[in-house]
Amino acid sequence: MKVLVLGTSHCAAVRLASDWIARAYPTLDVDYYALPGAVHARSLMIGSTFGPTPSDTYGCKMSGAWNDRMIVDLAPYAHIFHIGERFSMGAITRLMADFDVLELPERSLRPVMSLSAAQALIGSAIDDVVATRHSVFDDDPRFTFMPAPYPLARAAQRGPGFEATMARLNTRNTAPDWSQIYEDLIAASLAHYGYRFMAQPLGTRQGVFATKDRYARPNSSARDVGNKVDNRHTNAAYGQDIFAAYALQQLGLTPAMQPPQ
Amino acid sequence: MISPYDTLPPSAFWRTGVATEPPEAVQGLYVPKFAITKDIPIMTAGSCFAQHVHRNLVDRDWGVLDFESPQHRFNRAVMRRYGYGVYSARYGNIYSVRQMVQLLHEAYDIARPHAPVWQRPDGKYIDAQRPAIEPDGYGAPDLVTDARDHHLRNVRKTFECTELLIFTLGLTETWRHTTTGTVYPTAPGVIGTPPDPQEYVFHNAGQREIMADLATLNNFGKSRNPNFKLLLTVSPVPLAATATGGHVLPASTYSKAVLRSAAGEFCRAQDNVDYFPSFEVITNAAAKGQFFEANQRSVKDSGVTRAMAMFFHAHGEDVATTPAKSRAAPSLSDDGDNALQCEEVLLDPKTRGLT
Repeated sequence: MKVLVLGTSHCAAVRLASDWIARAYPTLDVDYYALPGAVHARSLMIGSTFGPTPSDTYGCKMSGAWNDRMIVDLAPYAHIFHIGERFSMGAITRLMADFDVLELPERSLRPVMSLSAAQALIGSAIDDVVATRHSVFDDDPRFTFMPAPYPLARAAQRGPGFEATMARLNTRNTAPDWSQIYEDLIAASLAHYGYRFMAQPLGTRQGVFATKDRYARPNSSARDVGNKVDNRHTNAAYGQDIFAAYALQQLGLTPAMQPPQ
Repeated sequence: MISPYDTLPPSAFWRTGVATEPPEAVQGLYVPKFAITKDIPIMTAGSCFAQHVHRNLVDRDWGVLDFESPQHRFNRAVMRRYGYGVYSARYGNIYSVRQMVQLLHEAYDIARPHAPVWQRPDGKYIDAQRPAIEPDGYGAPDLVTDARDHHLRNVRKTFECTELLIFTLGLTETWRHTTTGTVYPTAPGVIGTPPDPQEYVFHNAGQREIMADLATLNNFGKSRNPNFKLLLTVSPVPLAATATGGHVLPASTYSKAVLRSAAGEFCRAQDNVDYFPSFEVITNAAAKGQFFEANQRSVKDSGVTRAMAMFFHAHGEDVATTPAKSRAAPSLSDDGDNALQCEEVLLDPKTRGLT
């Protein structure tokens, strides 16, 4: 069965695990096609192929560099695992960090927003994203979307790579409630277009809105690279874990061998 | 002997000031009493038309205060449905000066309105002073008061920071509680019902009463900030309905005439108060109704644009450029300016259920 891992730079984690995936899922034939987020967002379907338009010089250059090909033909694949869509994560997490929910008991000095308003605002932001994806991929039940991972837990520390919003959000008692609202709305919006949703597996998370530091890319911390710290991209272990979760949830497959710890 | 009219400028004569002028760009209509700069902290409030004023100022990145809305620009239609980004705080439409004074007094804990929670026919509860702010209603009365307490803190914070209040006068007709005098933006039974519906009466304010309320508002503003300024406008949107028992057309004319008269007289007497003639731009006879939609009530975008262009031009803004914020958020959907939140339209039974 042919499976395509498609998406943004976050596909790299799964690609890094490709050797393990090939051994653990011998019945699967997995291919990979990734583009930088901005290029991915403006790329189009032409017939059954997806990729940057010929006029997108930078996109074509990056596609060649990352994939050794300009475009990918989606026709041969039975399943498509789409990784890295942010679903307005920045705006939505800011809202979740800045507001109390009227119907929930927690009260801080933050302004209060009704659950109805929060759901409508968050839902509309997600719907805009999903509608845009649908305008590219059309009705296609082969797609399962998994969002970009939450930033690494270490991003809560001030300094290079500090994620202020996520840090604030993760300390809130309402973080699990907000997470439920956010992920339910993504799932509902995707389902409206016939797509499937896979949330970031709980086992990969530190708290609610953070990814465990053990999934950090090698040599990506402030100690290693100073200001060029990367707290958003993940390593092969993360790729293994999310692919295993995908294979189990969406394909009903368990690995022939456990991921190395 | 020359007549006193012989030396007047062309704008003083109807023929040269109006009849031969293009109605979309009448010269000399707005000569500001004081300068308004882009960075002055502005609070907007008032009747439905004030939403246009707020939106245009925000779109051009003027210093409009808003502490209650999310930082990011979420879908504008959804924001508007919940009262976010419509005014400087989430108070909905404030149709009368009395209601504005009442809100400020409540925010500063000077007085509390009577019966702040009303109930809808579906059993949900509403904030009687901003009945459309939560389209789904509240599940319990204490949620209404909790939300209102937070809102009032924002109103106070906003007013404390305000140097210019732009207030659009909308209605003289109002409903008020007989004993306490509390006024409400809608009549009992339109969106919700108070616990004591028999104790509310219709009231149609006169010019003297409006003047007194304007004085209270202005004095309160100056007491909080010596530099406080007030810019008044009169909504050109006619009444959706009248409870006077008469025809809606003369009732609407009366209402607008009283408000316009009060605004003019009050402005003449106060150095810190000015009048912005958006009413005149839209309703000018030479425009032949071109700035109204087919319902002869809603104002077209073209009318709003003309009125606001006059404001921006008078205060040094280049109106030929595209609004900066609109350029910055091209992907946000927006279903147009005529989707204004306007509880008043619900007075017409045929339009109920629109919220």
